Amino acid sequence: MKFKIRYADQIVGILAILAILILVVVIFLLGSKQRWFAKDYKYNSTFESATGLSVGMALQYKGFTIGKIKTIGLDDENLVEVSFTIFDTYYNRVKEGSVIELIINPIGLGNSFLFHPGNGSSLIPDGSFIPRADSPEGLALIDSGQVTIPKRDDTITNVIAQVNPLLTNINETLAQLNGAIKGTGKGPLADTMKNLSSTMSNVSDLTSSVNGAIDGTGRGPLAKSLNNVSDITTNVNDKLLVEINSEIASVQAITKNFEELSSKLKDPTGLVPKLIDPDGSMFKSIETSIKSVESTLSNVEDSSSILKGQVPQIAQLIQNLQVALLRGQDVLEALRNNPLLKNGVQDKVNPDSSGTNSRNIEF
Amino acid sequence: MYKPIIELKDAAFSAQDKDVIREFSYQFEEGKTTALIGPSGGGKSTVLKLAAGLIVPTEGEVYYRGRGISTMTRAQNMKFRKESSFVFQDSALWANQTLRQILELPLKTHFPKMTATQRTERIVQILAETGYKKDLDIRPSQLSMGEQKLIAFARSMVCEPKLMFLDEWTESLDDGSARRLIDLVKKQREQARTIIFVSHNFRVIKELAQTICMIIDGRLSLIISAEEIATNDGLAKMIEKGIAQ
Repeated sequence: MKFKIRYADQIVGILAILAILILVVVIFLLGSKQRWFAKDYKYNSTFESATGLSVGMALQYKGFTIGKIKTIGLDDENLVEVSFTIFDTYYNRVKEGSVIELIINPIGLGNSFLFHPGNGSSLIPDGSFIPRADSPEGLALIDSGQVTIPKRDDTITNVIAQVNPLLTNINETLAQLNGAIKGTGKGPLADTMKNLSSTMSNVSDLTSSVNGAIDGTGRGPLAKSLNNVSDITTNVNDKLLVEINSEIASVQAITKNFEELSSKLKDPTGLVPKLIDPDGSMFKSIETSIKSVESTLSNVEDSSSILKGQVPQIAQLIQNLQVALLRGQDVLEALRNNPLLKNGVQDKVNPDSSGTNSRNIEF
Repeated sequence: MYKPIIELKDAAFSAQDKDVIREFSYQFEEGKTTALIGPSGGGKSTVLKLAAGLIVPTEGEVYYRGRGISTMTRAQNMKFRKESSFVFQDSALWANQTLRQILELPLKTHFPKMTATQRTERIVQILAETGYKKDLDIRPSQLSMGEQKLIAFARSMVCEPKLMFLDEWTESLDDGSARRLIDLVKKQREQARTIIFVSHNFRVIKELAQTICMIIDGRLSLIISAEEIATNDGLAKMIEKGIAQ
């Protein structure tokens, strides 16, 4: 028996078309999920090293994947050139001043390729250069307020890596410290703590003694000395210091005056000489007088030296004169007694006073 | 109560398993000019970038007017950026933009209400002060190193910041241009702006710095006042020799 399905060809055709349609829809859905039909915007940047970068690496913004690295290569200046895309749905974030940043995890738990949108108003066109945040251009953008880099919270692994050795050290230190405090520990810290303890005890005794001495309740030589010192200080403060202060003030005033006067006198163009002798005539007159006195003194000096040489002759002359006077007295007496000469005395010849030699003297 | 404009508190910075900065604490006084000096590779530029909040310390914190930079809100961060500026050692001009765009960008960001005419006026004024005379519609690659430095300096001044960070900003400039920029910094100093700079040029340090911090091997080794440099020849020679390394 032979079966025949009516419209079999049509049914097969419809099923085939349906299958194709489903395939197309699935492809479309898959494609849209994989962004096969979406327009991506291409950008590029440069890095010093390709470490931490890989093709296909996601570009993230606030945890969302907004793009991918497409190619990595070296440029003519040996810089690593990275080209990446940003999905069309996020294109409106790519504003003037945007930068990218690569964060390399120190313990290799995954690197991050981050995008920081700029604060500008216009969008960066497709194919443009977007600088790295740590490049000079990126830093200049940060500095001029074009972009704000938020504080990162992805340093936990970094912190954990540093915390463990730190905690170990702290534990060791605390163990040593506890032992030293209890007095059961060994080593330099424990010894130091013991010494410190005895020193503190001594210091405590000393402090109480000093306190007693200071507040006057203490006994012993220190307390007595301090009491005496206190009395002396009171006296010094009350009387002596007041007097000294007054004297010092007077002396300071005098010194100041002297200083001012000496400085004024010292200055040849100063006020004091100008007040006394404004046009300098007095100074000149004094100078002339002094010169005259000087020349006179010189003459006197010369005369005195000449006189000094003549002193013996003058002495001899005076002696001769005395002798002559005595003889003259005798002669006058003889004449007075002579009866032949009672009519008077003949005129005497006056000797030349300039003559200095006794031989020229006539009687 | 006294509050420093910038404070680094126990700041440390490590990169590639190397400690670049270690236990760095210093308070930068407002209105003062401070020079960071020291041998090459000692960490001067890193300290400058830490102070400017461009990099985050791996330990410790950096404070701007008492507020931790890394914990600032976006608005506080924008205010800090508006009030501060940084001149980079290698100019760091944006290669894909014209000079006009480069100079306009900070103005657009921090003064959104400013009109295009006002922006142009400000740019022209600042370029006249720096002495740049070429076209504005060219890209940085068409400029010499010295001209790039002038534009970088102009960009840092365009928003009239209260705090300036300068990283070897007179190097590779001719004498005339360097002189002009030094005079401009002097002018900023007279307006009580805070300036923190890195330089290897003793003449610049002596002329501008009020306080000098010597950084050796990532640590703050010496703090010297300008008066000490002026009065102590031996110290001045030691500093000159130290920064020449």
